[in-house]
Parts: sequence; structure tokens; C-alpha cells
Amino acid sequence: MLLSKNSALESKDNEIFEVEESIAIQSELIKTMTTMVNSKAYVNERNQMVPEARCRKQANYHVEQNNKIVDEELSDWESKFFEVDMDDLHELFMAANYLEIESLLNGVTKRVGDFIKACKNVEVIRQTFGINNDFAAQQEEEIRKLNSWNHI
Amino acid sequence: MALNFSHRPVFPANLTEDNLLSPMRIANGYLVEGVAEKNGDGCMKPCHSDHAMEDCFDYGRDKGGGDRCGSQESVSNDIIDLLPSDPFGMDITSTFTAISGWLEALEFDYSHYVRDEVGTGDGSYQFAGLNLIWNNAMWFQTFPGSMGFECKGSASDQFGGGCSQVQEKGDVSHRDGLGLDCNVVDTLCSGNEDMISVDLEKEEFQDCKVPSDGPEGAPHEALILALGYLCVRDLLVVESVCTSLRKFVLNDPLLWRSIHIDQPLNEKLTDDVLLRITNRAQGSLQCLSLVDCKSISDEGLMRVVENNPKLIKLSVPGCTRLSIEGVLNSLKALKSMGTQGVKHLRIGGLFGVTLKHFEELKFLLGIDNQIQQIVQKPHFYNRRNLYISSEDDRAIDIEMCPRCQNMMLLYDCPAEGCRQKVHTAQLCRACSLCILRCLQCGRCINDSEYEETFSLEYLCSDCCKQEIAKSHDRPDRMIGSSSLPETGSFHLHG
Repeated sequence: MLLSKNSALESKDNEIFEVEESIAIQSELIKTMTTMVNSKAYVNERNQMVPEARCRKQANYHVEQNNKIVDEELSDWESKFFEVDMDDLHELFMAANYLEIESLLNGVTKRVGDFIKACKNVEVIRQTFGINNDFAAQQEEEIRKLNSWNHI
Repeated sequence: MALNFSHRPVFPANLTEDNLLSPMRIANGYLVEGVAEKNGDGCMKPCHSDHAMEDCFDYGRDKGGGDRCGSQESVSNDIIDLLPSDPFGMDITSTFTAISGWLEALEFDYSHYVRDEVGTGDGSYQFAGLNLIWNNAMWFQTFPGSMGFECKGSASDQFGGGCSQVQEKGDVSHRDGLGLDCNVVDTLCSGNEDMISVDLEKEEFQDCKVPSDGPEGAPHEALILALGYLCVRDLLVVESVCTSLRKFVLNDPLLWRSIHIDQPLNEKLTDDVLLRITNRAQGSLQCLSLVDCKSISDEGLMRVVENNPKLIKLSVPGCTRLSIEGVLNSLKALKSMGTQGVKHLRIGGLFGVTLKHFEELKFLLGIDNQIQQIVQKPHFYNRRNLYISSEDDRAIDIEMCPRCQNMMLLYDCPAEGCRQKVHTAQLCRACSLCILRCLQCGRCINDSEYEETFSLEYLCSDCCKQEIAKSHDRPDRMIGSSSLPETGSFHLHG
């Protein structure tokens, strides 16, 4: 049964999620669309690039977040929620970015920050995130000189 | 019969597609090679037994001694090295060059969407430009109109989404880094090779399907947004990873609005380096915290302050090369610039602060006498918590010691008996010279047994016993490490 306060979101995989409107509009994108469409009761919107798994995660994230009122509980739950591997984190990031959900985006980027902190040096960061060293030899030498104060 | 292997490897390391086939022609049990052998009877080499045949192709197994010829040793054991590098002729560079040539022929001007100052070779420049087009089919339709804000519906729209999100945020003051500076945002939205997802090669995400097939090796956007959560030490590491990250780290003043320098950078920080780092804030530095930076001088601090008039919090505890006069001069210079000036100061560990200095400080900080009397939470003495943090609300950390009347950092006492005292005169609250405290637990040790460490600090007998117990649990630990009291000489006092 579709309650008047629910929004129906259709994901790329054609799966329909019903979420409370108050939760759905935490996504700036959906909020904008709702405003534009001027429909309060029922919003059917295609998320072109958001596959089902992501949408489900969004819905879950918000439902849970709204349920957890106590700060401590929330932060515990959040830290568990973000304890995922790079793959899932990447998915969450794409979804949060596309749907423009600030709190989710903050959580994801914070977790990425934790990953970076865990890397001990430049080489480990490159390996972890698959980044190529695109410095020219001369640049690298300059950087080494500039950072020589930091090395023993 | 001794096996007569060729001195040339069967599979030469630098194979091209053509050459691969040549050594493998086996006719009638003979291994035929394309090039005539120097030794033997020409091309035909007998390989009689099956065992020998296996050995011809067996590069994985550990080889025994015997008559294995030198060629075996020179050939890599790893089959990967032996396989041709490009068996299907998929020379990536030439492919993209061809396509970019095609696009140029169409007079499609994408050049200004790619950052000019790409430091790497031509291949990646074209690569980057092409990726914009490949990943954003919609851009063909929407460009040159809305740049980044409507590019939804494609894999790299994360960037467009990111842009709009960032723009909406505007100046994020509560946390550095998430809101990127305007000119940085412009650079991002003008389209550059960074809007590509990373090729995640690490084993834990081997199966990760990166939605956009951008050039491998560029940093993911999430990394850039995550920069705001990193401390100075991590930022200094990240800036050396690749050119784009370096640009972000160096050119985003929001990342450098609050600078905190602690172990281990404090030992190496000099005036010049400090100036270089603080200049990255481009004048917007608000909080500067230098803990135990023993090389920073008054002149160095003054230069930083002159370049950053918006400074609100200054914390220099344990910076023993600074003098109170130097700090006062810096604060006066800030005041003369007409800005709000520093409102929170931490100078614990500086010696020679007189009452007159203190009064002057209070004036410069704008402290009312009444405000100073707000009850603060107790500050206990501990090797990891010697100084009051700049996060704390109080305007200034030092106070007058009730016992010696000097302006010092005061410590409360966590001992049971001391906490119950109510009368001000009896309070166990004084500077660390007047009341000796245990470095570990912070309890006063005037009346009880204590031990003196090699670094002339004190440990109460309980903490000392704990340290000894720990060292016995870990017998491989050398005595003399920083956290362990030197047990060379134990003097029991009491």
C-alpha cells in the first residue's frame, strides 16, 4: 500500500523502493526533483546509474539513521556501517555523490580518510588506491629536496 | 646420454608475436628452431625422450643440477616474463593517438577542458582528454552549456555531482577541505583528468567494477574529498603521491586553515618549513598549534603571524626557543593589523612569564577578569597530556601558582585524598615544580615512595611496579625505551 507520505524510487535495475518522503528528501537530488515535479504524494523517478544495491543501502542508511536518536548509538552504528571494503565504499560513494546525500558522503569520505591514514608512506597509498606516479623525474627530485626536512 | 639443450632459450624473453611461433615448431619429435644453432648439426636438435620434451617446456619447476645449460639460468622462472607483452597488438598508446587524431579531424575542441599543465608525456594528455569524451556521452549534448552541473547520467557524473554539491556548500567553515576553494572548484568543473575513477589493483578489491573506464592511475574523487579529514602529517605524505593530488593539497587553503603539529614532525620543524606550510593557507590561517617545536624562534613565529592576520588560536606549548616577549610582540603585531586577534593562547612550558607579562597578555587576548574564573575541568599531569589542548575553551592556559607565585601550568591531583579537599589553601593544585607528580598517573608524590627516572621525571611506586611487571612480560624489550623507566639506578625516596 502506498502511503501518501511515501516516495517510490525506482532504481536502475527497475526495483522499486518505498521510502518515507522525509527520508527520501535527504537526498538533495530527489528533493529537487520532488520540488520540480510538484508532487507530494507519489514520486516515481528513475535513477539512471544507481543500481539496486546502492539504492537499498541508501534506504537502509536513512531509515537506520533516523531510528537512532541517541548520539552514542548513532556513532557506533555508523562506524559499523562504514566498515566495508574498498569495493563497497566505492559504491556508497558513487551513490551518495549522485543522490547528493550529505551525511552519507561525509561518512564515506571520512572512512577513505581512515584508509589514507593507515598507509604508512607514499608507495602504500599508491598501491592501495591504484594511483600512478606521474611525476617527472625532475619534479620528483624537487619534491624530495623540499621534503628533505621530514626525512632523517 | 646427456641432453644437449640449446644455449639460446626456447622462449626468448623479448618475444614478439612472430617469434613466439618459431621455437615451437616441433616436427617429428625434433625441436625446430628458426635460427641455426652455432653448435651441432644445424637446425635440428634431437629431443628424444618425453622427459626431455617436458623439460623443454618446464620453466616452473625447480631445476636440478646436471647438464642444464646456462640458458636455463638466464631464462626467468616466471612464465609471465616469457609471455609476449602485447600478443594481440593492442598497443594502447597508438590506439588512443589514432582516435584523438580522428577527433581532431572532426574539429572537436576538447583541449580547453583538459588542464594545461599536465606534467606527463603526450600519451596521457590525450588519454585524459579522451576520457572526458568517452565517459560523458551527455557532455556531447550539453556542452558547451552547463559545465558540470547537469552532467548526470554517466559514470563520471560523480564529478558533476561533486561540483554542484561543493558549490552549494560554499565556504565550509566547520570543517576544512570538504568545501573546496572557488578557484579549485572552477578547475575541477572545467574538466580535467581527475574525474576518473581509480583502477583498484589491490587484491582486496580485485573484482571491483569501476563504473567509468577512465585512465588508470588517477586519484579517485573520494580521495580528494577525504583530504579534509587528514592531519598535517598525512597531507605531507599525500602531496607526494601524484601531480593532481599535489595540486589539490598545495592549492586548497581550506585544508590549511587549522594546522596542528605534534610528534614526530615537531622535532624537525624549522622556521622556514613552518612558513612554507602556513603560507598554504594563503592568509586564512585560523588555528596554529605547535607542540614541543623546539626549533621555532620568535622571528619565525612573527613571520607566520604577519602573513596570517586572521589567526584566532595560537598554541605554542613546549616551544622552548620562544620567549614571552616574542609571543607578546606577535600578539601586538596582530592587534595592530586591526583584526580580531588571538583569542586563545597556549604557552605552557614557556619560562619567565611574570605577572606583568600576564596582565599584558590578558589585555591583548581581551580577557575579562570575570570570565577567567569560569570553572574548568581538572587538568592532570601525564606524559601524554602535559599541555592543555587548544580545543579547550579557556583563553589562556597558564595561571598563577599558589605556592611559588609564578605564572605556570597548574595541575590538579587525581589522588582520592586530594580530590576531597575543598579549601583553596589545601587544594593539591600547583605547578609541577612545587608539587612533584607521577609522570604516569599524575598523583602527587610528596608523601609517598617514588622513583626517579633517567629523564629526571618521577614515578610513584605503584606505577613503577607496573612498568617493571610490563618489562618482565616482554623480555625482548630493551630497557631504556622511552616509556620504560631506566632501571639502572633505583632510588627509593619517601
